[in-house]
Amino acid sequence: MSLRPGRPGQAHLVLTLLGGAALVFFALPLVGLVSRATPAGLWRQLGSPTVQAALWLSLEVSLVSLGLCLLLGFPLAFVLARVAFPGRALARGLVSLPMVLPPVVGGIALLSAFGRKGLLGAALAKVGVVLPFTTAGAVVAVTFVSMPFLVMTLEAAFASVDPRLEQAAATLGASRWRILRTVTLPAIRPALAAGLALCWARGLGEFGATITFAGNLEGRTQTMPLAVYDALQTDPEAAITLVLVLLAVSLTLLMALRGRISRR
Amino acid sequence: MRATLLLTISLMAACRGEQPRELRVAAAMSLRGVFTGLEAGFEARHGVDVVFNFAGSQILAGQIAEGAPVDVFAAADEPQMRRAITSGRVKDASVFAHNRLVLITPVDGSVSGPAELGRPGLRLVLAGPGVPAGAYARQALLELGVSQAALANLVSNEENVRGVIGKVSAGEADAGVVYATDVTAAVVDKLKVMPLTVTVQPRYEVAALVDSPEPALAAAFVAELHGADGQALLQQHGFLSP
Repeated sequence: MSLRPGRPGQAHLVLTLLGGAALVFFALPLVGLVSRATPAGLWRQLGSPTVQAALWLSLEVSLVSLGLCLLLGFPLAFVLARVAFPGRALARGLVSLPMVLPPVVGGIALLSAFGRKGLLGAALAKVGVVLPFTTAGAVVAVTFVSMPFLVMTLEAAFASVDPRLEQAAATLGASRWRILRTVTLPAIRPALAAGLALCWARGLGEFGATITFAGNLEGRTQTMPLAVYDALQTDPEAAITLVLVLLAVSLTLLMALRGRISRR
Repeated sequence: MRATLLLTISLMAACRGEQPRELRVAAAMSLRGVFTGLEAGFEARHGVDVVFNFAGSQILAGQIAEGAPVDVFAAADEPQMRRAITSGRVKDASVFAHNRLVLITPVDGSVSGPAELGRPGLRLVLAGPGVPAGAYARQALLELGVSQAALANLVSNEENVRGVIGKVSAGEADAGVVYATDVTAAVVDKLKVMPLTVTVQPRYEVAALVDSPEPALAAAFVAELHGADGQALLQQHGFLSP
């Protein structure tokens, strides 16, 4: 790796050491958590109705949100990457805003738009659609904070697809839809996998926007992070076990997701 | 280069020696107004910098149990102070104030009393059951005989009282139960406030931590709360005597 004669591998060594330190930095909190939990406690928590409700709700909300992110984020990413329209820079900024806003602030912003007295929310309330304090509201909050991750990953991927490949397909007579399906999509597969994984992981861990916009009620809006925070205040041991359960589930799904989509 | 570095470090070390002593006070969120009110006077009289950490008492009790550096703990109920005592970091606590519970609704709300909390479709917001304010609220609802009906309308367990005030004053929730002292000038215009006639009386306890590096200052702060000036200020903010 090193190009300097007489100092073989020094750069490699330094990078490896620093990289190793970074890995320890990530692993230590997890090891700390595991050391505080007991198998009996873990099993007991898994059987608790509160934990089960939170787990199922988290999966439901995060997966529905992921679907919404894909449905809305995929076209948005495509347009941002391929269509030069006036105000595109502003649009890009808007999309990345939820990543910069503290989640609670995001929740407050959502209330001002979709709350009962909000911009759109007031009109929605008249037709009987109320989002705050509902599971649908939790989905909205999670989608708001996690979609930017998918959009930005996909936008970069769309922009980096070799245009000659698509042009070649066009000259051979393929329709726009066909090009998208058979040339563009396979080319962005790894980025799609990464984007989905990031988006889903972010959504699963969402707390601030959910609690501010949708509230905190077991079985309706209390996702795992909210349940952990609750437990932390009254029963720290339960909180640790909850976190481990969440970690195990997310890790499994993340690994499976990345493996399936990026496999060629 | 090395000389500059040494000079900078020694200057920084010298500066550190001139910092005022610190008194770290962990206090329930509902005490924010009154504690910041007595901060300046206490700092001037004792030559100390008082650093506050305001949060739900249940969060503070947890932090104290985990060994957080704190000199004085003021909790909004006895169970949270008991957690601090169980952790071994507090020995004796004393009650220094009481509070009252009130029912709040948006200013244009249609709820006129606790009896209506069971109305179908009503959205009630309370602090969580593990939060002192939430525990007191539930006791009050039980005492009023509307507990089951009202809790069926519960839409959110907030992590502290401010969350309840926020949701009700924004009109997102139809009703909430908070401390009388939480209805500050900033929100009073957006709320309708109804006192609750219950025997439940939120009580505030304070204690100096046994491992505080500033035991005299901590004791002085506790004494200040019990003293005439402290009590007067508490009453000014709407608290009741111990």
